[in-house]
Amino acid sequence: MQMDSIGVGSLPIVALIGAFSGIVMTLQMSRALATYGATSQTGQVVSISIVRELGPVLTALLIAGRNASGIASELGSMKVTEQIDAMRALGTDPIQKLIVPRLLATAFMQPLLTAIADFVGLLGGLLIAVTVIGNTANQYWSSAIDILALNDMVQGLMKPFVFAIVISLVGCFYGMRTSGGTQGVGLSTTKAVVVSSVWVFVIDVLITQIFVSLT
Amino acid sequence: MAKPILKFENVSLSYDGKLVLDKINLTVNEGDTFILLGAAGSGKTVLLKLAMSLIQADSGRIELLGHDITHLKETELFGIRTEVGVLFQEGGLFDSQNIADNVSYPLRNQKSLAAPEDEIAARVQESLDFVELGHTLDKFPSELSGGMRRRVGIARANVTNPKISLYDSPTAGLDPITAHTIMSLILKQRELRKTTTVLATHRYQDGSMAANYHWDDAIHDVVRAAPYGSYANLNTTFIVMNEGRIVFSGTQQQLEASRDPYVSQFILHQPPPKLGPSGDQGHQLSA
Repeated sequence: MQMDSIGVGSLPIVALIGAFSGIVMTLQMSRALATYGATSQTGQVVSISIVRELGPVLTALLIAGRNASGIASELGSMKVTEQIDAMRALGTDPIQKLIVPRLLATAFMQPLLTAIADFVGLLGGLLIAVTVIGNTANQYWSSAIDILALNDMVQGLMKPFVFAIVISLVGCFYGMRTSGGTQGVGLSTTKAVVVSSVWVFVIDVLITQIFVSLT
Repeated sequence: MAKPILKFENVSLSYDGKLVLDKINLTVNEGDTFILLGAAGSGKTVLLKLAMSLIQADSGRIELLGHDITHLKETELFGIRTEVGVLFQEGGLFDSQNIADNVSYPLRNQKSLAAPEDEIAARVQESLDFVELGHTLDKFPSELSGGMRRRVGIARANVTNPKISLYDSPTAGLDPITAHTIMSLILKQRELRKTTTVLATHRYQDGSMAANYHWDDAIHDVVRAAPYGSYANLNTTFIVMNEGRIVFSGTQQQLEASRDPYVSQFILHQPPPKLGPSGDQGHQLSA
């Protein structure tokens, strides 16, 4: 159920944002590359930007906005209506029942969503590269794929995995600490989105630094 | 001699530097009815949560069903909690689950209560029939009225046949007729299943009803156990709380004779009369 909510539920918006980021990146990069007469390299630049950075980070920000807030508000509502106390009183560990499924679902679904966002982003880039810049589809696609190394793929999938853990834990943390009725739920939701978004950028810098130093 | 089933010894608790409970001492014996009276914020809910170790006391000792639960781990508490029924102030029903799943929740999630599916279904039906909501199995909490949700809460609290039931403001926010129905069901549970009852409420009428009425299964309603004007008491102890302290402990008769301004105002909705009856006035615990 959590996988459906977090994964399938986020798919349309993730795909949409992926497509637009690919389109915008291609338009911007082609302009810069045209200065050097290197528009044929557009695929490479777009591909690396999307797989290493834009795909993981934009997807993470969407998941933070959509799911960290969802988790915090759902658990926060349960907290203020004493459903979590009831759960404990009736013999269930809320960590096992509420937090673990959300953590696992996010950690499993976010890398998949990121891979889809990357692919749709590259398709968006292809559309612009062919219709606006004048590249051939083969030229764009082969340059986009050939430039990607194992390092890029690992980085592009490790980032969303770590982001997912942080986003879900931040959402759960603020949800479970909610107090003060409906106003408290709103506050927890806002904090969950802001804090998890900031952590996405901090972790992005750290992971990028690690991979840069490895190569 | 009656066996203590719940015991607080010098229990104190603070939140954000504010003392919420101050050196609470009380003993609830098996078969007793214990009425916790107090205004909003007096510490009733906190006390009930401490009784199940849903929150931890800063100091003191809490004994539940013969176990010292003061410092037990959450996993060690699950077994003890199977013998305690609790109705939360907000109902605490899981809004994503239907009524049948809500009521069967403790039976499905507590290992010591594991039972075959048909037995669980029978017990859920029996428990819902007990509160006269046997027809609501497939409904969701949001489809029920406030009073019906409380009744489902009572069914869920008692589906495990607990030794002690804790009710947190079961009649708060309900109209008088529904409040009477809820109290009748609590008394029905107390007497038909011999459950020790702890009832936190801000309504003196609830405590008075618990002290003077019993369930008559023949007429399917509560009846007064003593003539009007006299006290039946029915093993009922009244505690009055004010700002985290117990300011009164005693019988209903002692409570009504109390000269404590807070207690009196709380019971009579006005300051104490200047010329009151003399006699035993319970344990005046306030300064």
